Amino acid sequence: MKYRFDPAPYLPLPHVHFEILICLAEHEQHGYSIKREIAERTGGRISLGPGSLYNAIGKLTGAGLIEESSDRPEAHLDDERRRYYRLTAEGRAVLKAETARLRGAVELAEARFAPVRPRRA
Amino acid sequence: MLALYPAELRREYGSEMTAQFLEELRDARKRGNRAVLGYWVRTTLDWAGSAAGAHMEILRSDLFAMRGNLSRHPWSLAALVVLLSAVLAINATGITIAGRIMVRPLPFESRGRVAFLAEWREAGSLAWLNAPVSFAQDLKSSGSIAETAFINGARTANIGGTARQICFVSASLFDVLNMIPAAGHAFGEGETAVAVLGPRLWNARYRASESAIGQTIQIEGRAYRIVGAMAEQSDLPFDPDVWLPSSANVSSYGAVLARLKAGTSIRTAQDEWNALRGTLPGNWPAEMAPLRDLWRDQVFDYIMWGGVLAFLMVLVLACADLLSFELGQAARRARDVAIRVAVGASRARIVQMAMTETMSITLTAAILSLPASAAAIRAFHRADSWGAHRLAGWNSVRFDGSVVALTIGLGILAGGVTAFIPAWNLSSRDPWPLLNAGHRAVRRPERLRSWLVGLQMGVASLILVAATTLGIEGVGRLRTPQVRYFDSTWSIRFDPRARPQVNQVRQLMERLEAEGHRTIVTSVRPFGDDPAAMQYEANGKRYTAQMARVSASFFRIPGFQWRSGQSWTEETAATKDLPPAAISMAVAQEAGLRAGDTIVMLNANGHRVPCRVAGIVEAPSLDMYSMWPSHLLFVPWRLGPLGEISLLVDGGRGGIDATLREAEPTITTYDGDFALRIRQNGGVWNGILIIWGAAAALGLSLALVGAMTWLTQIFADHGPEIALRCALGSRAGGIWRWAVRRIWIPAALGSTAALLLGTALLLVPSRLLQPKEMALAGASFVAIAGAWGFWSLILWIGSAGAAAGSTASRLRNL
Repeated sequence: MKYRFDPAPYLPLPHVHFEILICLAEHEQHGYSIKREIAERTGGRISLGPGSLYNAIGKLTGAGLIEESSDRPEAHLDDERRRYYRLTAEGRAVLKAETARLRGAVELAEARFAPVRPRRA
Repeated sequence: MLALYPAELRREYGSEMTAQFLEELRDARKRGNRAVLGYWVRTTLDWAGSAAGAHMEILRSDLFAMRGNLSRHPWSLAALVVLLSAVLAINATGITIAGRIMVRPLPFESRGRVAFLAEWREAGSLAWLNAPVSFAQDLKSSGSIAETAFINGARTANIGGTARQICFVSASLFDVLNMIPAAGHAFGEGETAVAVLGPRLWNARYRASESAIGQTIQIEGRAYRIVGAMAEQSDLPFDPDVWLPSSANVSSYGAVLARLKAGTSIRTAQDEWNALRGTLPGNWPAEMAPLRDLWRDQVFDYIMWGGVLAFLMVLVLACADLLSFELGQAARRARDVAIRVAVGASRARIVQMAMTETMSITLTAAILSLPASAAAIRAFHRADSWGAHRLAGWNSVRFDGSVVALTIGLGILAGGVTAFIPAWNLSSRDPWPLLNAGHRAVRRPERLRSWLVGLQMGVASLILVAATTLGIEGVGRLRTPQVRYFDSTWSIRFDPRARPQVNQVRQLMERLEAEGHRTIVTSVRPFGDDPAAMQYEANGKRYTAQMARVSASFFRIPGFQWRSGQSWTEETAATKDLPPAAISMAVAQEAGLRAGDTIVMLNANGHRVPCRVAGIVEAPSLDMYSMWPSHLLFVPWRLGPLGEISLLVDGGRGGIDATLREAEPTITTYDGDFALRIRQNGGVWNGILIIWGAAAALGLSLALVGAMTWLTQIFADHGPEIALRCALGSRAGGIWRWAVRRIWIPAALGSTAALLLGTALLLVPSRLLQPKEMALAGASFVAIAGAWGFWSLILWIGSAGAAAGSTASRLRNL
């Protein structure tokens, strides 16, 4: 029987975890670059210190949602102390599920609280 | 900063975290000092939050794992937690009471220790030395004394128709005892005819109003101007209704006390007093004693410290139970731990995991014990049956934050000490032995557990020896012929306002005797009060003894034996010859007295009363005074004020009540039943019996729980072996012998060591137990044999249960 991963137990994702998964959705990144991207994307509202960032990375790795990548950049661009992380298939599934959950929540909020648009004549 | 993160996180991401930190710091430096400062603040906050969060995460996962582990043994766990909480509650209560009464500084000691000139009584208690008050002035020359004071009189006086306590003191007393009036001021040196009200009178007569200041109060026919009023003073050893200046009393004798300079010890003050007293007239071998010890005696200290020790031993038993339980848990978790170690769990992590479980149990027990501690401390306050309210520190014995902290601290200490051994044992770096059930590393806890059971039996036996010894001694003391003689005796005080006459008292006694009641008149009630110290002269020398005024009927109390001479009669005491006196053996030996010799009693005001020695009394009956004095003088009750004597009447209250009221309605007052007073004195021994009885019961329960846990575990762990033995024909006896073989050496060693230690500690050096040593040792042997018998019975029941398993279950086990 084919194994089918169920993302439901991971939801809702803590916001920081969600942001990290978004960062890794596109390409592999190391810790500091994840931190910088999140800070830029959120206009500096979320600025993760080393402790919070690697705590979250540790939990995501432990849960199997991200993993360390063995691919390294060119030697002149690389810092050997850095480790690169990428999304696993399970991580991608959880990210999708969380996105869908948030979208559903946003749609519901819009339907209930957004101003009613005048109908075109 | 990295060091505060969990080891796993540090090992996994430490270098990256450091690299990121340095990179960010470099970026911040490029932006200037302000950015660096901001970065440090942000990083510190992040560090504090994330490190705590990481640890909380681990704790949460450990607690989750613990829930699974512990839910397999709910009854053992519940029994353990209940017993542990009872033990923690009783320890916290005992330590709180002992600490606050005997150790913790009191409010009047806030400016330095306060000592008083004391004399030792025979039973080891301290009493005021009735010394010349001029010693207070002499003591000021001592380098260790900051301030001195004296009290030269304390008595009951008629104030506004009510009997009130008045106390004559030097003005410096308020400073020495750090007493600050709530209204007005204390009187100064040289002030006369002024008074400071105590809280009772201030409340009762002036409703604690400041308008009392400046008013006049009549005391013993003299007017005093009220200059100050005291609010309730916590834990002060004196509690009069009115403080009056010493100049208002003629006595030049009294109690001398002193506040020591900061950092000065009592011993230094004592040495200086010893040097000083050589220059003073007369021989005054006084002790400088802490004022807080005034109302305590060695028996009280013995009870308290003995109780604390007993309950600490019980705590050791409880810890052994917990350790045994945790060793069992560790043995079951060995495989799980091996896997964790194999995949990289650090030793610290395994220790932390194991300790979380134990600490959770002890902390839960500590929290559950808090209501019990609060109730026990309240009960202690309510059960003030032996005048404990007079003890310094009594008011500070209450349930407060420090009791909570102490209980939690004890819980943490018990958990920490107990958890460490199985945790360390479990966290062996090499995971492979832990996967092999027969390996030494796995079997070591089982042997340790059997030794623990032996230790528990030893400690429980030691407590049992102490409880049995003290129990027999206590019951003996509570049921002496003297105590039985006073079982239904009432104490009646004569109202000093009615100015009772000797004839009135005599007629009352005769009438009661005619109705079949035994009567005794005494100035010192047995089993409640203690005779006062006084001086006497004999053969040209001056001595100190304690004196009681009694009627001739006093010597009918069982136990009196006369070495020589005999008791006086009321008729011979009333003749114009010298008043008779009865003296104890110690007085006769010290002063070289024989029946018929003359002695001169000296009272505090210097009056001399010559008496003739009528008889010399053997000592045993003098146990009826709580301090067991040996230097005692008895003189007829008429040689002193009648306001201080008590009439002891045997019989039911209903029977004597009407007679008393009808005979002398004006001169008698009731102030409680004497039978109660006897129980109060017995309260000391009741206290010993209750404390050691409770300790023995708790200790045996814990030892039993420990033994049962061990038994359950070996039957569970050796199921196949037992099944095989049963299949080969073993019955309950065979299984019993098999189990006993595994435990008898530790248990026998533990019990024997306990018995030897108990004998050495309790029986040999105790002068109280000399006549009964053999009986007590025998009783202790019987008690231990009883405990052994009970334990063997339990083991037999367990063995029978194991042997009675069905064939199917045996086959399953095989």
